[in-house]
Amino acid sequence: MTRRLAWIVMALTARSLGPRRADWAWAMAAELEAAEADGRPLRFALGCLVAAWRTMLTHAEGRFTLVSHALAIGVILPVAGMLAVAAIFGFPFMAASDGLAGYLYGSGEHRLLLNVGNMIAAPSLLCLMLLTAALHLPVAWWILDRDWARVGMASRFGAAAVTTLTIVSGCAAIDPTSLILPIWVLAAETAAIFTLATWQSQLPRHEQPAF
Amino acid sequence: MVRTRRPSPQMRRLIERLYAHAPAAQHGYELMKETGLASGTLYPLLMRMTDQGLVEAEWHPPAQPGRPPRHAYRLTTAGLALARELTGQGPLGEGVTA
Repeated sequence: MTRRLAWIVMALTARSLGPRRADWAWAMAAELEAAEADGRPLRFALGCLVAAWRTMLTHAEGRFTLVSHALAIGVILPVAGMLAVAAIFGFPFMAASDGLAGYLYGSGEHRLLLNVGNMIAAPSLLCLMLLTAALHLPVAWWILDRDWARVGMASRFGAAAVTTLTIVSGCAAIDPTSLILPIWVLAAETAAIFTLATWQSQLPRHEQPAF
Repeated sequence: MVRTRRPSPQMRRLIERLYAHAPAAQHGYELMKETGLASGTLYPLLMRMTDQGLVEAEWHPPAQPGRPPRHAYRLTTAGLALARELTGQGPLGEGVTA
């Protein structure tokens, strides 16, 4: 278990070091075997991770890696969680008396905005919300993996989902202004991803560590 | 690049060990054990010293089949000069706490 954890930490170290320091990542991984023989693989691997983080701010590649991790972990994953929780609390076909807090914490009263005539839209709206939330999980990984083709594909799906959500909400006579906040958040997220991809295209190319 | 800042106690300790083994190269884990520095301190130092041209890294073939090649480090000419300069100032390990 400790050995496996040490290798996971070492993989994170390699990712944190980035392509510019790929040879150092390989060097640390090779020494991990010596640390294993010495019975201290996890301590060594954690030290290497600290070393990687300490060196990241000193060069553009490291700063890029740091920002992409911050975006993936600090923005994309929380947005995924918020969208999923809001969907579970009935957004956008339930009105919450506490507004945003009502959707995120379930506080206050919730009133169904659909009637018998348009109730059929509820499963579709819920599916779209949950799909959009779920898609954020691979997007976070693809950002860290710098797989911009897949990130672009997911962004297009997200845009299509939000457009569909807006149209279906309109058809179901739900106030479309309730969708302004999630649309704004998703647009800001897409802009941040686009900025990150543009930044990455300006970085010098290096070989990516393969473990 | 010419180093102008005074070396830290950790860097002095590392230079001392590399100088003691010169011209032989040392593996990272051996250096950790000899200097008592944690990997989180040793590797940033080695990276910085390599960038400054004080240390050179080379790949050593594995001692046993199936094992990966290992990075080994030695002082460059500039590193040796710095080590000698520091030796002239007193013992390299002076002021270093474990």
